[in-house]
Amino acid sequence: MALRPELDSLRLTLLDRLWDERLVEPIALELCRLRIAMLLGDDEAFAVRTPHAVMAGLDEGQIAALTDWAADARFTGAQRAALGAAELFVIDVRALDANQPGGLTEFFSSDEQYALLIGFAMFDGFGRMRRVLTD
Amino acid sequence: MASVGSKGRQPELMADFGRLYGTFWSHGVVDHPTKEVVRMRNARLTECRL
Repeated sequence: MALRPELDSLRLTLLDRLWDERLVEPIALELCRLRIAMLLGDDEAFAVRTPHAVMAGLDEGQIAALTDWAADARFTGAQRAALGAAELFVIDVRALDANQPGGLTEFFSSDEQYALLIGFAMFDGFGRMRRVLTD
Repeated sequence: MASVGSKGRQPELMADFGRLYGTFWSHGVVDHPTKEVVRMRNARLTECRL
């Protein structure tokens, strides 16, 4: 992003709003960010912890169990819905259905779903770019 | 995917995204036709109707 500092500034403005205004529950959002980083092999992003999520009580035990989120009892229904959507967003966005049982609609308002999806787009898009440009 | 619907949702966040996307689109060293071909190919792969 050093080549396009104006883009990085706008990217950070968007992310600051997403976190600072708590547009969606920060621990669920952070778990999704980390899961997306894991799927992309984005070690740089995975090593970071967003302060808003840490202050909200982010549990490193959950992060260690992130590949087993569907079965591990430490994850709430909302976190499972968000993580399932995050995985499909990265792997097969055409299969993502917010209205399926246990899906986003069951746990998040429309505004929250929208914030989550914008977050997914940022984490996925810039994660892929970072992965390609730094390999 | 069932549409969440973006109209009226998180307008300030959407404005931030629009500024980012618009700056990406209107500046830089890659020409517009190349960007558009890549955008269309990506839209077809993800079955995005936008």
